[in-house]
Amino acid sequence: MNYIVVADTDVGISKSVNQDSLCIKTAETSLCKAAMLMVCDGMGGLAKGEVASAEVVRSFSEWFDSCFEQELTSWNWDRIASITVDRLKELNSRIIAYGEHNGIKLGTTATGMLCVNSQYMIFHVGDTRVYKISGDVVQLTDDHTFVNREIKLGRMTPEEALRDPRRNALIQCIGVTGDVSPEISFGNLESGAHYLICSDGLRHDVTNEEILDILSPQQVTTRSSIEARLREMIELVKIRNEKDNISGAVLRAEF
Amino acid sequence: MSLTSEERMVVAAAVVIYIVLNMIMWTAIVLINRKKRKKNQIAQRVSAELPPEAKPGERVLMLQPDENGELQKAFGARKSVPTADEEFLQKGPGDNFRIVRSIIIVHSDERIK
Repeated sequence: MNYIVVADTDVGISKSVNQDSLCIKTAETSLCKAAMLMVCDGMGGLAKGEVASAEVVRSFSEWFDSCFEQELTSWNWDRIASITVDRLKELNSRIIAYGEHNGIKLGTTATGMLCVNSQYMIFHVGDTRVYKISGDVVQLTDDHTFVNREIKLGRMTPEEALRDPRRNALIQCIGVTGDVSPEISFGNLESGAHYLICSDGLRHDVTNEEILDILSPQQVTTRSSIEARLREMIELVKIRNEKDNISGAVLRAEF
Repeated sequence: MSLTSEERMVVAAAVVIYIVLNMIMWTAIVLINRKKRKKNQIAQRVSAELPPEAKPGERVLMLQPDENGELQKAFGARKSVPTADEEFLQKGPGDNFRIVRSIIIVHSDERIK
């Protein structure tokens, strides 16, 4: 079993501050392998998005460094999911309190993957996305937008959502309102597939076909080639005039 | 004046047709009104909820308190929690834990306590 993880980010062509934060980690014991990837997109319309996204990423990084080994001794995905949700809610409260104390509003999306051997858990708040890239490109997360909520509650059809002017209106992120409901999902890694976590700046101006072409798991198999292709994708969206910060992290699992 | 059996049959058929047509007409009216009401509700939400400066389809923030727990219902349900894989359960996590690769990319030194 082997994990390859890469990450890259760019401030983009228009902004003066990169408000995205990322984290990639791998760990191993004599019998198992683990990995964690996170991408947090600080909210550009609010103040100090880079502070919010950095705090979330650091918090999970510190948890991985100090608590993960102990969790492995009695690994339980339900417990890990609860710990993750609790941590995101605690961060939400802490960032809200910081904002109130300083008279500002700050917030961030938070999306991550935690892998142990061939299993993974995705945790997710906002509109940063996780894609699985193998024979095709499959989105593994739901955007936390107004229309997706309405669809899941049975109050809107997908066809109505496509025409609705609120289709890209984000309704939850970390650090702004007291109510946050992280999405948790589980799955099994596919050997040889790529898993891409990316901020919306990376995915706005590329099609799924282009993602598959650039990050083809059949052709792009080493760490250096994945790094090069991720950078290529970033440069492509900059040429296409993407104005936002641009970030991505990729996991390749082989077993 | 009494009707012949043929005349009675014609009248009965006319009555049945009248009733069926009425049922169809009223069902159609109810469905059309329901659709109109739903459209009006959506239209009202459109004018009330998008930030005024937002263009349709633009990525905007519409962050409001979740009074009815709808975020949890829509996104927070935890589905199909797996058990750890069998080999892992049998053999355990192993020893000599080490972090192999660790990269953090942030753009602020400020911490939130």
